[in-house]
Amino acid sequence: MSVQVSLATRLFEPADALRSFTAEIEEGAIVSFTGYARASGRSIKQIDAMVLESYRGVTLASMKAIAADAMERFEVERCVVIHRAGRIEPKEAIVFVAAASTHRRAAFEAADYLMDRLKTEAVFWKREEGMGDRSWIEPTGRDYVDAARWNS
Amino acid sequence: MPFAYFASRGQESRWKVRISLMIENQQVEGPNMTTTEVAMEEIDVELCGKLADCGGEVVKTIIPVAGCTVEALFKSLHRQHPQLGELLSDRRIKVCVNFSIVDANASVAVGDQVALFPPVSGG
Repeated sequence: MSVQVSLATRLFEPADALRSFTAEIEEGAIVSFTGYARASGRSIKQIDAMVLESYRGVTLASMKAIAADAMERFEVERCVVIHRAGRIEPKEAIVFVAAASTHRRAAFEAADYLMDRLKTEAVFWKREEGMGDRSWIEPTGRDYVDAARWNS
Repeated sequence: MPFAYFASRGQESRWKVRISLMIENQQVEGPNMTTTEVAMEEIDVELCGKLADCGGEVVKTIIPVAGCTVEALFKSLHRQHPQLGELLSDRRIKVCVNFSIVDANASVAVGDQVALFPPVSGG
């Protein structure tokens, strides 16, 4: 079993991350997800950048705790989580997660779980910047509903 | 008002604060009032996310040299940084001491790394 969690302060290439994750595959299934910054914001119509503030080791620790929970909850052999911090421009990757398991269901569920919890619990403060304005954003009601699916 | 205080700069950058302690809901004057001196020291408190928009990335506040609870720290911040008042009233704000999120009863000591976390945005 292996877990790799990292906080990327610069642009990263999700294809490279997936290639690395699949380089020595021994499992029967790999599921990955990549989230990208959109050009249209929630509060600002056209954004120049999304800024994700993190707090020293606490942000990384929150990501590691979520990944550890995923490994314990699902029958996955490996998972990787990469999350950007800092200034992210539209079309740049923000987050990449991948899970590997013997059969597909566990990998699908682990990737889904990782994203739901990262979206609501990872220690980031996110703001949109653009059109001469800036706006802090919090998880949506939908994000909380998605995350609550795993409470049972 | 549970207490009033009068502060003046002391030696070695420390604050000496004369605190007039009174039992709440009792008369201000009279035998219920005692006076003592408490050595105080200034600490930095980092503000994260939207909190920094109002107060800057770091604010200073004074706490007893012997330390205080997180709850007392909040009261100190309220008094000394009224511009943060409304934001600090958000009960979802968490306090991080030495890189761990703690509750209101936890202790804060001089030299601790203290930060206030508004609700996280998630990733």
